[in-house]
Amino acid sequence: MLGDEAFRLAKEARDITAGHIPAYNEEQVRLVTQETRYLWARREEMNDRLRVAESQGMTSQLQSQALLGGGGSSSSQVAAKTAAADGGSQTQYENDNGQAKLYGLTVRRNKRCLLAYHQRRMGFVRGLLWSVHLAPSLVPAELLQRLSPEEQGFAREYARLNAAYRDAVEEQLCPADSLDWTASGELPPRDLFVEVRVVRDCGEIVTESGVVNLQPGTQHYLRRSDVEHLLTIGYLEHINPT
Amino acid sequence: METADPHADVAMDVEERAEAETGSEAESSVGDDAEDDDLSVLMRAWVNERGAPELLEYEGAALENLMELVEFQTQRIASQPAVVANILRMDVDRVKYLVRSYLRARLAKIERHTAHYLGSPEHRARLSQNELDYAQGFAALEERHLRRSFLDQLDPHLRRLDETAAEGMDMVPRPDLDAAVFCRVRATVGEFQFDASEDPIVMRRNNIFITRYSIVRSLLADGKVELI
Repeated sequence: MLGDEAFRLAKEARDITAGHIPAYNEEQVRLVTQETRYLWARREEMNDRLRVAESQGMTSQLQSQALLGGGGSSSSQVAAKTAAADGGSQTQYENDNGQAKLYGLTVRRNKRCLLAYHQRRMGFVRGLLWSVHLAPSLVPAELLQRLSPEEQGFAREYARLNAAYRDAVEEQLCPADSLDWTASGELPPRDLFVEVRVVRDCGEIVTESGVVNLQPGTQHYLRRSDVEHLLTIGYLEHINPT
Repeated sequence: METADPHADVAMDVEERAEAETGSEAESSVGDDAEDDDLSVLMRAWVNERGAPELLEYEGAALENLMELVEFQTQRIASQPAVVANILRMDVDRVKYLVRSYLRARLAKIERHTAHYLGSPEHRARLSQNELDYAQGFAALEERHLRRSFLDQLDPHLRRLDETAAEGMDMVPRPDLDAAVFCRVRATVGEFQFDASEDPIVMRRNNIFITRYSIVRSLLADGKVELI
């Protein structure tokens, strides 16, 4: 049925939550895009026919109505009476007019569904990036493969845009310091130091007090801001979080 | 700002509020010293920003002053004994958190309604230069993504993202100014007409109301109420 494909897409958009995203439905997007293209072409055809019919001398009332895009049904009845003499071609005219409107509306609805679907997904991608400190390379592979190539490109460009903003802000507010821009924004910092256990090899990191070698299985007492990003992506484990 | 330790202010501020709430109705106007330093200004801006459905004025001056203070503090830390240094570092971290959270709350709003904020000079004026750059970059990025994903395959007439449909439906999403907000009165307003159909309500200092944002919008802009 008309609009079913778009509805399916809208339903999929609704199913996206902060923690879950279905794979990019390229097939469905293609179907809806195709339907939209087809409907638009048909609508243009019919509008052409309508224009021809008008120029062949329909009543001025009918003309203005077609141009306005049709009002309520009562006015079209009036119009029908006025032009009743035209008989067959009048019916054809009304059919085309109605169809053209229906197609026009469906086209717009399809476009809305397409937009909503992609917008929701972009929202998810943004949230995902923030959760990995805006480093597209840290996006888990199983999530990455659910994104379309375009979305992966969007993720990279979004990270770049954000980095540019961060640099500009830090340049302006604290040229010599960092804002820890991608640190967790949800909770204010509670402890300056955290005790962490290394889950995955992080190599050596440089802290204020020197170089620390983060070998798997070892425990360290470090400044939170030095290792926060490693905690969030799960390379380190926080022992006794308060 | 004279206090060298902004953190002390945070604690003080909280206590003071608690006092003000339990104590008798102090009906003085806005302007206690503790409420006007940069940290308090930014704290309030931050809470307001997180509560309000639309983007508020950018507190550029307070941000810059505060970060200058942070820089000064950071330089001092090195010469302090370890215990003091750690407390100061914690303090600096918290101020940074505040700045970060404030800026990010604003970015989130800009991302949600990019076209809306870029659309009129009045809205543009609320963005800092950096935010404006960001908004423009983001709008371009979004459009590029949509074009690549499907828009380019539609008829050229259908590619616009800012049209108003024949049924009067606007394609540009806008913030919901009628969203519910909690607000606390900072300076006694007196009788205030909440709803055209109802009697005016007296707004006294420290009273708390839940209402539609659009109703207290101008009071918030004047600093007469704060969101909580």
